[in-house]
Amino acid sequence: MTGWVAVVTGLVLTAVTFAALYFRLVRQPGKRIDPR
Amino acid sequence: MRVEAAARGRLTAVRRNSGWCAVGAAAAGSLVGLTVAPPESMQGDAARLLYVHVPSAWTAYLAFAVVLVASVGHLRTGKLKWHRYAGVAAEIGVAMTALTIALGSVWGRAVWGVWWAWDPRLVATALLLVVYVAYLAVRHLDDDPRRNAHRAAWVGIAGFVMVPVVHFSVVWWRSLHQPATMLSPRLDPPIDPVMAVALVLCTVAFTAAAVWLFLSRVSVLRHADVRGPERVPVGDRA
Repeated sequence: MTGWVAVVTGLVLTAVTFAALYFRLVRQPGKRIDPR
Repeated sequence: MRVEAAARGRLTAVRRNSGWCAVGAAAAGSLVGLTVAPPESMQGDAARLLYVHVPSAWTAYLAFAVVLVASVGHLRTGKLKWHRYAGVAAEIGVAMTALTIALGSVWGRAVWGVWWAWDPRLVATALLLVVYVAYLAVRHLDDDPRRNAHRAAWVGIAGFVMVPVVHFSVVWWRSLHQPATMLSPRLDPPIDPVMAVALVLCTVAFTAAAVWLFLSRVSVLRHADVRGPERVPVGDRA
């Protein structure tokens, strides 16, 4: 695995984790609750 | 009521500011970390994973510290709001710990040639993940929410023992993993200044994003309470 492939993989993993947290904690599909 | 409204207004302001802080710091950190900072002398560009691996570990430590404080708060006051705060922080901490392990695995494959090694730091971090997954499970063991909250609080306090074990595992045992750079006892961290700037920016971005997620979730749960228990998201009724 070359350095930049590892870096891009890491960035994708980070983005997926934060997206999962966002949809789990803040904006759940099918729920109308909005933090605003 | 007026005092409570003012406190909520301040929390909303903190939440919004932390969101924008996360976006700004992430943009600046990405720019510096990916373009300005030099590659590491031995590991090359793979070492740029430092800018996400270390902040995710730091954010996990911070989240578990919140679990500890909220658990103590629950045991002292008996209020279920502390139990909820602990639950939100634990979910963030578990996700950040899993991310830390995944990023470390990719980094290990690039520079060590293996995805996993039975190394004290790696094993301790995996145990940390298991402990807090167990904590999340304990929150739903019983039908009685107060009993769940009480049990979970004790697990949340005891589980925090794993955080210093993970952090100092590279000092206490012979480890393949490198020792701490920024949180080391040395006054002059052995890191290039530009790399240090990128690392600090990314750490600020992760911390601010975690604060935003935490406060947003707390706000969501509060709204759910106001509108009625049938709207409380499944798994968070306490």
